[in-house]
Amino acid sequence: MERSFWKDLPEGVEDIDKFDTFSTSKKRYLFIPAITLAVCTLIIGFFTAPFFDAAASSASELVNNVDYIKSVLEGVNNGEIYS
Amino acid sequence: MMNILILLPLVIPFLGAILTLFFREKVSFQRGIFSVSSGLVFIVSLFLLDHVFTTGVFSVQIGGWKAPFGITFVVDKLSAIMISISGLMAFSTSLYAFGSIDAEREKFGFYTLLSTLFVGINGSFLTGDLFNLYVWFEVMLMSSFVLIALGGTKAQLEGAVKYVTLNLISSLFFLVAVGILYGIVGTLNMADLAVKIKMHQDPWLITTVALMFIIAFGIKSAMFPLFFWLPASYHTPPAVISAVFAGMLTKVGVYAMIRVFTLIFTNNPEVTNGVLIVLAGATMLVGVLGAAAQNDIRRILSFHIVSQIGYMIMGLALASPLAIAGAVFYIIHHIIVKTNLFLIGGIVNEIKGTFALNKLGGVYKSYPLLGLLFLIPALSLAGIPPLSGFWAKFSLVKAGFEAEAWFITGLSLFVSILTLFQ
Repeated sequence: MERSFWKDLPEGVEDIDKFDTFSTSKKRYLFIPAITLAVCTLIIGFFTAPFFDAAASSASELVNNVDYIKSVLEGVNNGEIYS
Repeated sequence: MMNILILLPLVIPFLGAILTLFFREKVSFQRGIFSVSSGLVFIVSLFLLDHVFTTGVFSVQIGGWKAPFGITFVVDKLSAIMISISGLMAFSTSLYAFGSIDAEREKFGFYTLLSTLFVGINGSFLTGDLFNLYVWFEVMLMSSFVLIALGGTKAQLEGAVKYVTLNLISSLFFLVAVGILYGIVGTLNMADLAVKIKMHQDPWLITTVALMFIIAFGIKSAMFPLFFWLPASYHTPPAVISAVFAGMLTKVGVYAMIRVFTLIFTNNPEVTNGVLIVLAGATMLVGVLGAAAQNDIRRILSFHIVSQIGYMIMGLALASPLAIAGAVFYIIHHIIVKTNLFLIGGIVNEIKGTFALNKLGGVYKSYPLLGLLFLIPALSLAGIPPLSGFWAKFSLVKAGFEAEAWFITGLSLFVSILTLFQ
Protein backbone atom coordinates (compact mmCIF):
# COMPACT_ATOMS: atom_id res chain seq x y z
CA MET A 1 0.00 0.00 0.00
CA GLU A 2 2.92 2.30 0.69
CA ARG A 3 3.51 2.31 -3.09
CA SER A 4 0.49 4.52 -3.66
CA PHE A 5 2.01 7.15 -1.38
CA TRP A 6 5.70 7.06 -2.23
CA LYS A 7 6.11 5.81 -5.78
CA ASP A 8 5.52 8.08 -8.76
CA LEU A 9 2.28 7.94 -10.66
CA PRO A 10 2.45 5.10 -13.23
CA GLU A 11 2.94 6.18 -16.83
CA GLY A 12 -0.21 6.68 -18.83
CA VAL A 13 -2.37 7.17 -15.75
CA GLU A 14 -4.17 10.49 -15.55
CA ASP A 15 -3.44 12.42 -12.33
CA ILE A 16 -6.86 13.10 -10.88
CA ASP A 17 -7.00 15.47 -7.92
CA LYS A 18 -10.35 16.46 -6.48
CA PHE A 19 -9.09 17.91 -3.19
CA ASP A 20 -9.57 21.53 -4.23
CA THR A 21 -13.20 20.83 -5.05
CA PHE A 22 -13.90 19.77 -1.44
CA SER A 23 -15.70 22.20 0.82
CA THR A 24 -13.97 23.18 4.08
CA SER A 25 -16.50 21.21 6.12
CA LYS A 26 -15.93 18.10 3.98
CA LYS A 27 -12.18 18.38 4.53
CA ARG A 28 -12.75 18.68 8.29
CA TYR A 29 -15.15 15.75 8.40
CA LEU A 30 -12.71 13.54 6.48
CA PHE A 31 -9.53 14.47 8.31
CA ILE A 32 -10.61 15.00 11.94
CA PRO A 33 -11.52 11.32 12.55
CA ALA A 34 -8.34 10.11 10.82
CA ILE A 35 -6.19 12.53 12.85
CA THR A 36 -8.00 11.56 16.08
CA LEU A 37 -7.45 7.86 15.51
CA ALA A 38 -3.81 8.42 14.51
CA VAL A 39 -3.29 10.36 17.75
CA CYS A 40 -4.96 7.49 19.67
CA THR A 41 -2.52 5.08 17.98
CA LEU A 42 0.44 7.22 19.04
CA ILE A 43 -0.86 7.59 22.61
CA ILE A 44 -1.38 3.84 22.99
CA GLY A 45 2.07 3.21 21.53
CA PHE A 46 4.08 5.81 23.46
CA PHE A 47 2.14 5.57 26.74
CA THR A 48 1.43 1.85 26.66
CA ALA A 49 1.53 1.06 30.37
CA PRO A 50 -2.00 2.08 31.44
CA PHE A 51 -3.54 0.47 28.36
CA PHE A 52 -1.60 -2.74 28.77
CA ASP A 53 -2.37 -2.77 32.50
CA ALA A 54 -6.07 -2.50 31.66
CA ALA A 55 -5.75 -5.38 29.20
CA ALA A 56 -3.78 -7.44 31.75
CA SER A 57 -6.33 -6.69 34.45
CA SER A 58 -9.19 -7.76 32.16
CA ALA A 59 -7.23 -10.90 31.25
CA SER A 60 -6.76 -11.88 34.88
CA GLU A 61 -10.50 -11.34 35.42
CA LEU A 62 -11.18 -13.63 32.45
CA VAL A 63 -8.82 -16.34 33.67
CA ASN A 64 -10.16 -16.16 37.21
CA ASN A 65 -13.87 -15.68 36.57
CA VAL A 66 -15.18 -16.10 40.13
CA ASP A 67 -16.19 -12.43 40.34
CA TYR A 68 -18.16 -12.69 37.10
CA ILE A 69 -20.03 -15.78 38.28
CA LYS A 70 -20.68 -14.36 41.75
CA SER A 71 -21.96 -11.10 40.35
CA VAL A 72 -24.50 -12.85 38.12
CA LEU A 73 -25.58 -15.82 40.22
CA GLU A 74 -25.16 -14.60 43.78
CA GLY A 75 -26.06 -11.00 43.24
CA VAL A 76 -22.68 -9.73 44.45
CA ASN A 77 -22.32 -6.13 43.27
CA ASN A 78 -25.57 -6.71 41.44
CA GLY A 79 -28.26 -4.39 40.17
CA GLU A 80 -31.92 -4.51 41.13
CA ILE A 81 -34.26 -6.82 39.33
CA TYR A 82 -36.61 -5.01 37.02
CA SER A 83 -40.16 -6.24 36.58
CA MET B 1 -27.77 4.57 38.90
CA MET B 2 -25.53 1.76 37.58
CA ASN B 3 -28.64 -0.23 36.63
CA ILE B 4 -29.53 2.49 34.18
CA LEU B 5 -25.94 3.17 33.12
CA ILE B 6 -25.32 -0.43 32.02
CA LEU B 7 -28.32 -0.29 29.68
CA LEU B 8 -27.56 3.09 28.14
CA PRO B 9 -25.11 1.79 25.49
CA LEU B 10 -28.11 -0.14 24.13
CA VAL B 11 -30.90 2.33 24.81
CA ILE B 12 -29.20 5.46 23.44
CA PRO B 13 -28.41 4.15 19.92
CA PHE B 14 -31.78 2.36 19.86
CA LEU B 15 -33.61 5.62 20.58
CA GLY B 16 -31.31 7.33 18.08
CA ALA B 17 -32.29 4.77 15.42
CA ILE B 18 -35.99 5.38 16.07
CA LEU B 19 -35.61 9.16 16.11
CA THR B 20 -33.75 9.23 12.79
CA LEU B 21 -36.73 7.46 11.21
CA PHE B 22 -38.91 10.48 12.00
CA PHE B 23 -36.57 12.79 10.07
CA ARG B 24 -36.14 10.81 6.86
CA GLU B 25 -36.02 13.87 4.63
CA LYS B 26 -34.02 16.04 7.03
CA VAL B 27 -30.50 14.68 6.77
CA SER B 28 -28.98 17.32 9.05
CA PHE B 29 -31.31 16.19 11.87
CA GLN B 30 -30.28 12.58 11.30
CA ARG B 31 -26.61 13.56 11.42
CA GLY B 32 -27.15 15.49 14.65
CA ILE B 33 -29.03 12.62 16.28
CA PHE B 34 -26.40 10.06 15.32
CA SER B 35 -23.40 12.12 16.40
CA VAL B 36 -25.05 13.12 19.71
CA SER B 37 -26.11 9.54 20.46
CA SER B 38 -22.69 8.09 19.63
CA GLY B 39 -20.99 10.82 21.67
CA LEU B 40 -23.28 10.05 24.62
CA VAL B 41 -22.53 6.32 24.36
CA PHE B 42 -18.82 7.12 24.48
CA ILE B 43 -19.27 9.27 27.62
CA VAL B 44 -21.42 6.58 29.28
CA SER B 45 -18.84 3.94 28.39
CA LEU B 46 -16.14 5.93 30.18
CA PHE B 47 -18.30 5.95 33.35
CA LEU B 48 -18.80 2.19 32.98
CA LEU B 49 -15.06 1.71 32.50
CA ASP B 50 -14.31 3.75 35.62
CA HIS B 51 -16.93 1.89 37.68
CA VAL B 52 -15.78 -1.58 36.64
CA PHE B 53 -12.09 -0.84 37.22
CA THR B 54 -12.77 0.61 40.69
CA THR B 55 -15.64 -1.58 41.93
CA GLY B 56 -15.54 -4.80 39.89
CA VAL B 57 -17.96 -6.79 37.76
CA PHE B 58 -21.51 -5.44 37.71
CA SER B 59 -24.62 -7.22 36.47
CA VAL B 60 -28.30 -6.45 36.04
CA GLN B 61 -31.21 -8.86 35.69
CA ILE B 62 -34.13 -7.76 33.57
CA GLY B 63 -37.57 -9.28 33.15
CA GLY B 64 -38.61 -9.93 36.72
CA TRP B 65 -36.54 -13.08 37.35
CA LYS B 66 -33.24 -13.70 39.02
CA ALA B 67 -30.36 -15.30 37.12
CA PRO B 68 -30.23 -17.75 35.42
CA PHE B 69 -33.85 -17.15 34.35
CA GLY B 70 -33.85 -13.39 33.81
CA ILE B 71 -32.23 -11.50 30.96
CA THR B 72 -28.73 -10.82 32.21
CA PHE B 73 -26.51 -7.90 31.30
CA VAL B 74 -22.99 -7.94 32.69
CA VAL B 75 -20.22 -5.42 32.46
CA ASP B 76 -16.75 -6.63 33.35
CA LYS B 77 -13.41 -5.12 32.41
CA LEU B 78 -13.33 -6.68 28.92
CA SER B 79 -16.87 -5.64 28.01
CA ALA B 80 -16.30 -2.12 29.42
CA ILE B 81 -13.16 -1.75 27.29
CA MET B 82 -15.00 -3.00 24.20
CA ILE B 83 -17.97 -0.69 24.78
CA SER B 84 -15.62 2.30 25.16
CA ILE B 85 -13.87 1.57 21.88
CA SER B 86 -17.20 0.96 20.19
CA GLY B 87 -18.36 4.42 21.38
CA LEU B 88 -15.16 6.04 20.12
CA MET B 89 -15.47 4.33 16.74
CA ALA B 90 -19.16 5.28 16.41
CA PHE B 91 -18.36 8.93 17.08
CA SER B 92 -15.30 9.07 14.80
CA THR B 93 -17.00 7.35 11.92
CA SER B 94 -20.10 9.52 12.28
CA LEU B 95 -17.97 12.60 11.53
CA TYR B 96 -16.32 10.87 8.59
CA ALA B 97 -19.73 9.82 7.25
CA PHE B 98 -20.87 13.46 7.18
CA GLY B 99 -18.07 14.22 4.73
CA SER B 100 -18.27 11.12 2.59
CA ILE B 101 -21.70 9.49 2.45
CA ASP B 102 -23.92 10.60 -0.40
CA ALA B 103 -27.32 12.16 0.22
CA GLU B 104 -29.20 9.21 -1.30
CA ARG B 105 -27.78 6.77 1.22
CA GLU B 106 -28.43 9.22 4.04
CA LYS B 107 -32.09 9.49 3.03
CA PHE B 108 -32.40 5.73 2.75
CA GLY B 109 -31.71 5.26 6.44
CA PHE B 110 -27.91 5.14 6.67
CA TYR B 111 -27.85 6.61 10.19
CA THR B 112 -30.77 4.43 11.33
CA LEU B 113 -28.93 1.34 10.18
CA LEU B 114 -25.61 2.44 11.65
CA SER B 115 -27.31 3.12 15.01
CA THR B 116 -28.95 -0.31 14.89
CA LEU B 117 -25.60 -1.88 14.09
CA PHE B 118 -24.10 -0.31 17.21
CA VAL B 119 -27.09 -1.53 19.27
CA GLY B 120 -26.19 -5.06 18.14
CA ILE B 121 -22.47 -4.56 18.79
CA ASN B 122 -22.99 -3.11 22.28
CA GLY B 123 -25.60 -5.76 23.09
CA SER B 124 -23.11 -8.49 22.19
CA PHE B 125 -20.55 -6.98 24.56
CA LEU B 126 -22.97 -6.61 27.47
CA THR B 127 -25.09 -9.73 27.38
CA GLY B 128 -24.58 -12.46 29.94
CA ASP B 129 -26.62 -15.05 28.11
CA LEU B 130 -25.75 -17.14 25.06
CA PHE B 131 -29.18 -16.97 23.45
CA ASN B 132 -29.23 -13.20 23.79
CA LEU B 133 -25.75 -13.14 22.26
CA TYR B 134 -27.28 -14.93 19.28
CA VAL B 135 -30.05 -12.32 19.12
CA TRP B 136 -27.56 -9.41 19.23
CA PHE B 137 -25.54 -11.11 16.48
CA GLU B 138 -28.67 -11.21 14.35
CA VAL B 139 -29.37 -7.52 15.03
CA MET B 140 -25.83 -6.83 13.78
CA LEU B 141 -26.24 -9.11 10.78
CA MET B 142 -29.53 -7.55 9.66
CA SER B 143 -28.30 -3.98 9.83
CA SER B 144 -24.88 -4.80 8.38
CA PHE B 145 -26.46 -6.67 5.46
CA VAL B 146 -28.55 -3.64 4.52
CA LEU B 147 -25.59 -1.29 5.06
CA ILE B 148 -23.36 -3.34 2.77
CA ALA B 149 -26.04 -3.46 0.06
CA LEU B 150 -27.19 0.16 0.47
CA GLY B 151 -26.56 1.84 -2.85
CA GLY B 152 -27.42 -1.25 -4.86
CA THR B 153 -24.43 -1.45 -7.19
CA LYS B 154 -23.69 -4.85 -8.73
CA ALA B 155 -20.43 -5.24 -6.78
CA GLN B 156 -22.18 -4.36 -3.54
CA LEU B 157 -24.98 -6.86 -4.06
CA GLU B 158 -22.46 -9.54 -4.99
CA GLY B 159 -20.46 -8.79 -1.84
CA ALA B 160 -23.60 -8.62 0.27
CA VAL B 161 -24.80 -12.05 -0.89
CA LYS B 162 -21.43 -13.62 0.00
CA TYR B 163 -21.42 -11.78 3.32
CA VAL B 164 -24.92 -12.77 4.34
CA THR B 165 -24.66 -16.38 3.13
CA LEU B 166 -21.58 -17.17 5.20
CA ASN B 167 -22.91 -15.26 8.19
CA LEU B 168 -26.21 -17.14 8.03
CA ILE B 169 -24.27 -20.41 8.06
CA SER B 170 -22.46 -19.10 11.13
CA SER B 171 -25.80 -18.21 12.74
CA LEU B 172 -27.07 -21.71 11.97
CA PHE B 173 -24.08 -23.33 13.69
CA PHE B 174 -24.46 -20.90 16.59
CA LEU B 175 -28.17 -21.65 17.03
CA VAL B 176 -27.74 -25.42 16.76
CA ALA B 177 -24.85 -25.31 19.26
CA VAL B 178 -26.94 -23.19 21.63
CA GLY B 179 -29.83 -25.66 21.30
CA ILE B 180 -27.63 -28.67 22.00
CA LEU B 181 -25.98 -26.92 24.93
CA TYR B 182 -29.37 -26.10 26.43
CA GLY B 183 -30.43 -29.71 25.94
CA ILE B 184 -27.29 -30.95 27.75
CA VAL B 185 -26.97 -28.45 30.58
CA GLY B 186 -30.43 -26.85 30.86
CA THR B 187 -29.28 -23.24 30.96
CA LEU B 188 -27.90 -20.59 28.64
CA ASN B 189 -26.86 -18.05 31.23
CA MET B 190 -23.09 -17.85 30.78
CA ALA B 191 -22.24 -17.69 34.49
CA ASP B 192 -24.60 -20.59 35.21
CA LEU B 193 -23.11 -22.54 32.29
CA ALA B 194 -19.62 -21.97 33.69
CA VAL B 195 -20.67 -23.65 36.94
CA LYS B 196 -22.80 -26.47 35.52
CA ILE B 197 -20.52 -27.50 32.65
CA LYS B 198 -17.71 -28.32 35.11
CA MET B 199 -20.04 -30.85 36.78
CA HIS B 200 -21.11 -32.51 33.54
CA GLN B 201 -20.27 -36.20 33.23
CA ASP B 202 -19.39 -36.30 29.53
CA PRO B 203 -16.62 -33.80 28.72
CA TRP B 204 -16.39 -34.99 25.09
CA LEU B 205 -19.99 -34.04 24.42
CA ILE B 206 -19.24 -30.57 25.75
CA THR B 207 -16.05 -30.45 23.64
CA THR B 208 -18.04 -31.29 20.51
CA VAL B 209 -20.37 -28.36 21.23
CA ALA B 210 -17.32 -26.18 21.87
CA LEU B 211 -16.01 -27.05 18.40
CA MET B 212 -19.36 -25.99 16.94
CA PHE B 213 -18.90 -22.63 18.67
CA ILE B 214 -15.43 -22.37 17.12
CA ILE B 215 -17.04 -22.80 13.68
CA ALA B 216 -19.81 -20.28 14.43
CA PHE B 217 -17.55 -17.59 15.90
CA GLY B 218 -14.73 -18.51 13.52
CA ILE B 219 -16.90 -17.51 10.55
CA LYS B 220 -17.94 -14.27 12.31
CA SER B 221 -14.34 -13.36 13.05
CA ALA B 222 -13.09 -14.46 9.59
CA MET B 223 -10.87 -17.26 10.84
CA PHE B 224 -9.29 -19.82 8.49
CA PRO B 225 -10.75 -21.63 6.54
CA LEU B 226 -14.04 -19.70 6.53
CA PHE B 227 -12.62 -16.20 6.02
CA PHE B 228 -13.19 -15.67 2.30
CA TRP B 229 -16.49 -13.83 2.72
CA LEU B 230 -14.58 -10.91 4.28
CA PRO B 231 -12.20 -9.90 1.47
CA ALA B 232 -15.02 -10.65 -0.98
CA SER B 233 -17.38 -8.17 0.62
CA TYR B 234 -15.59 -5.47 2.65
CA HIS B 235 -14.28 -3.67 -0.42
CA THR B 236 -17.72 -3.07 -1.90
CA PRO B 237 -19.50 -0.50 0.33
CA PRO B 238 -18.37 3.12 0.92
CA ALA B 239 -15.17 3.48 2.97
CA VAL B 240 -16.92 4.54 6.17
CA ILE B 241 -19.07 1.38 6.21
CA SER B 242 -16.03 -0.79 5.46
CA ALA B 243 -14.18 1.00 8.27
CA VAL B 244 -16.88 0.23 10.84
CA PHE B 245 -17.11 -3.38 9.67
CA ALA B 246 -13.32 -3.82 9.59
CA GLY B 247 -12.84 -2.25 12.98
CA MET B 248 -15.73 -3.66 14.93
CA LEU B 249 -17.55 -6.64 13.41
CA THR B 250 -14.81 -9.26 13.29
CA LYS B 251 -13.74 -8.20 16.78
CA VAL B 252 -17.23 -9.01 18.09
CA GLY B 253 -16.59 -12.56 16.87
CA VAL B 254 -13.20 -12.63 18.61
CA TYR B 255 -14.77 -11.16 21.76
CA ALA B 256 -17.43 -13.89 21.75
CA MET B 257 -14.74 -16.51 21.34
CA ILE B 258 -12.68 -15.09 24.21
CA ARG B 259 -15.81 -14.94 26.38
CA VAL B 260 -16.97 -18.52 25.84
CA PHE B 261 -13.52 -20.12 25.87
CA THR B 262 -12.43 -18.43 29.10
CA LEU B 263 -15.74 -18.72 30.93
CA ILE B 264 -17.66 -21.74 29.63
CA PHE B 265 -15.59 -24.25 27.64
CA THR B 266 -12.63 -24.69 29.94
CA ASN B 267 -12.98 -28.43 30.60
CA ASN B 268 -10.92 -29.79 27.71
CA PRO B 269 -8.34 -27.12 26.82
CA GLU B 270 -5.93 -29.59 25.18
CA VAL B 271 -8.42 -30.13 22.36
CA THR B 272 -10.08 -26.71 22.05
CA ASN B 273 -6.88 -24.69 22.44
CA GLY B 274 -5.05 -27.13 20.16
CA VAL B 275 -7.64 -26.58 17.44
CA LEU B 276 -7.56 -22.83 18.02
CA ILE B 277 -3.77 -22.62 17.77
CA VAL B 278 -3.69 -24.50 14.44
CA LEU B 279 -6.46 -22.27 13.06
CA ALA B 280 -4.71 -19.15 14.41
CA GLY B 281 -1.48 -20.03 12.58
CA ALA B 282 -3.29 -20.81 9.33
CA THR B 283 -5.36 -17.61 9.62
CA MET B 284 -2.37 -15.31 10.09
CA LEU B 285 -0.40 -16.93 7.26
CA VAL B 286 -3.22 -17.17 4.70
CA GLY B 287 -4.29 -13.60 5.42
CA VAL B 288 -0.88 -12.08 4.83
CA LEU B 289 -0.25 -14.18 1.68
CA GLY B 290 -3.67 -13.22 0.32
CA ALA B 291 -2.89 -9.53 0.84
CA ALA B 292 0.28 -9.83 -1.25
CA ALA B 293 -1.74 -10.71 -4.35
CA GLN B 294 -4.14 -7.76 -4.22
CA ASN B 295 -4.28 -4.46 -6.09
CA ASP B 296 -7.20 -2.73 -4.35
CA ILE B 297 -6.37 -0.87 -1.11
CA ARG B 298 -9.49 -2.16 0.64
CA ARG B 299 -8.87 -5.77 -0.39
CA ILE B 300 -5.30 -5.59 0.93
CA LEU B 301 -6.60 -4.21 4.20
CA SER B 302 -9.32 -6.87 4.28
CA PHE B 303 -6.80 -9.70 3.93
CA HIS B 304 -4.71 -8.07 6.65
CA ILE B 305 -7.75 -8.19 8.96
CA VAL B 306 -7.80 -11.95 8.44
CA SER B 307 -4.09 -12.17 9.20
CA GLN B 308 -4.39 -10.05 12.36
CA ILE B 309 -7.37 -12.06 13.62
CA GLY B 310 -4.92 -14.98 13.73
CA TYR B 311 -2.80 -13.13 16.29
CA MET B 312 -5.80 -12.50 18.54
CA ILE B 313 -6.85 -16.16 18.37
CA MET B 314 -3.23 -17.13 19.11
CA GLY B 315 -3.46 -15.19 22.37
CA LEU B 316 -6.70 -16.93 23.30
CA ALA B 317 -5.29 -20.36 22.39
CA LEU B 318 -2.12 -19.91 24.45
CA ALA B 319 -4.52 -19.20 27.33
CA SER B 320 -2.03 -17.75 29.84
CA PRO B 321 -2.89 -14.41 31.50
CA LEU B 322 -0.12 -12.70 29.48
CA ALA B 323 -1.36 -14.22 26.21
CA ILE B 324 -4.96 -13.21 26.85
CA ALA B 325 -3.80 -9.74 27.89
CA GLY B 326 -1.91 -9.61 24.59
CA ALA B 327 -5.05 -10.65 22.71
CA VAL B 328 -7.15 -7.98 24.45
CA PHE B 329 -4.49 -5.34 23.81
CA TYR B 330 -4.30 -6.51 20.19
CA ILE B 331 -8.06 -6.03 19.84
CA ILE B 332 -7.85 -2.47 21.22
CA HIS B 333 -4.94 -1.60 18.92
CA HIS B 334 -6.41 -3.29 15.87
CA ILE B 335 -9.87 -1.69 16.05
CA ILE B 336 -8.31 1.79 16.09
CA VAL B 337 -5.62 1.13 13.50
CA LYS B 338 -7.71 -0.82 11.02
CA THR B 339 -10.64 1.60 11.16
CA ASN B 340 -8.21 4.43 10.51
CA LEU B 341 -6.54 2.69 7.56
CA PHE B 342 -9.92 2.20 5.89
CA LEU B 343 -10.80 5.85 6.55
CA ILE B 344 -7.48 7.00 5.06
CA GLY B 345 -7.99 4.67 2.08
CA GLY B 346 -11.37 6.37 1.67
CA ILE B 347 -9.73 9.82 1.70
CA VAL B 348 -7.28 8.68 -1.01
CA ASN B 349 -10.25 7.50 -3.06
CA GLU B 350 -12.10 10.79 -2.49
CA ILE B 351 -9.08 12.74 -3.76
CA LYS B 352 -7.74 10.45 -6.49
CA GLY B 353 -10.98 8.74 -7.49
CA THR B 354 -9.66 5.17 -7.15
CA PHE B 355 -8.66 2.47 -4.70
CA ALA B 356 -6.53 0.66 -7.31
CA LEU B 357 -2.82 0.69 -6.49
CA ASN B 358 -1.80 0.51 -10.16
CA LYS B 359 -3.57 3.81 -10.78
CA LEU B 360 -2.17 5.58 -7.73
CA GLY B 361 1.13 7.27 -7.01
CA GLY B 362 2.73 10.39 -5.60
CA VAL B 363 0.11 10.87 -2.90
CA TYR B 364 2.80 11.73 -0.33
CA LYS B 365 4.29 14.45 -2.56
CA SER B 366 0.94 16.18 -2.97
CA TYR B 367 -0.42 15.48 0.51
CA PRO B 368 2.34 14.95 3.09
CA LEU B 369 -0.15 15.13 6.00
CA LEU B 370 -2.16 12.32 4.46
CA GLY B 371 1.08 10.36 3.96
CA LEU B 372 1.95 10.83 7.63
CA LEU B 373 -1.58 9.89 8.69
CA PHE B 374 -1.25 6.69 6.67
CA LEU B 375 2.23 5.93 7.96
CA ILE B 376 1.24 5.94 11.66
CA PRO B 377 -1.40 3.18 11.52
CA ALA B 378 0.45 1.28 8.77
CA LEU B 379 3.67 1.05 10.79
CA SER B 380 1.64 0.23 13.88
CA LEU B 381 -0.09 -2.60 12.02
CA ALA B 382 3.30 -3.94 10.94
CA GLY B 383 4.45 -3.91 14.57
CA ILE B 384 7.16 -1.26 14.38
CA PRO B 385 8.32 -0.11 17.86
CA PRO B 386 7.20 1.83 19.80
CA LEU B 387 3.78 1.92 18.13
CA SER B 388 0.83 0.02 19.58
CA GLY B 389 1.11 -2.96 17.21
CA PHE B 390 4.62 -3.65 18.47
CA TRP B 391 3.48 -4.00 22.09
CA ALA B 392 0.56 -6.18 21.04
CA LYS B 393 2.83 -8.54 19.09
CA PHE B 394 5.60 -8.37 21.69
CA SER B 395 3.27 -9.56 24.47
CA LEU B 396 1.94 -12.40 22.32
CA VAL B 397 5.44 -13.51 21.27
CA LYS B 398 6.61 -13.33 24.89
CA ALA B 399 3.60 -15.39 25.96
CA GLY B 400 4.38 -17.86 23.17
CA PHE B 401 7.99 -18.29 24.33
CA GLU B 402 6.87 -18.67 27.95
CA ALA B 403 4.44 -21.39 26.87
CA GLU B 404 7.19 -22.99 24.75
CA ALA B 405 4.87 -22.83 21.75
CA TRP B 406 7.78 -22.48 19.35
CA PHE B 407 6.02 -23.12 16.06
CA ILE B 408 3.15 -20.62 16.44
CA THR B 409 5.52 -18.03 17.92
CA GLY B 410 7.97 -18.43 15.04
CA LEU B 411 5.12 -18.27 12.56
CA SER B 412 3.78 -15.09 14.15
CA LEU B 413 7.22 -13.46 13.80
CA PHE B 414 7.49 -14.61 10.18
CA VAL B 415 4.03 -13.22 9.36
CA SER B 416 5.03 -9.96 11.06
CA ILE B 417 7.98 -9.63 8.69
CA LEU B 418 5.75 -10.37 5.69
CA THR B 419 3.28 -7.71 6.89
CA LEU B 420 6.13 -5.21 7.18
CA PHE B 421 7.16 -5.80 3.56
CA GLN B 422 3.63 -5.19 2.33
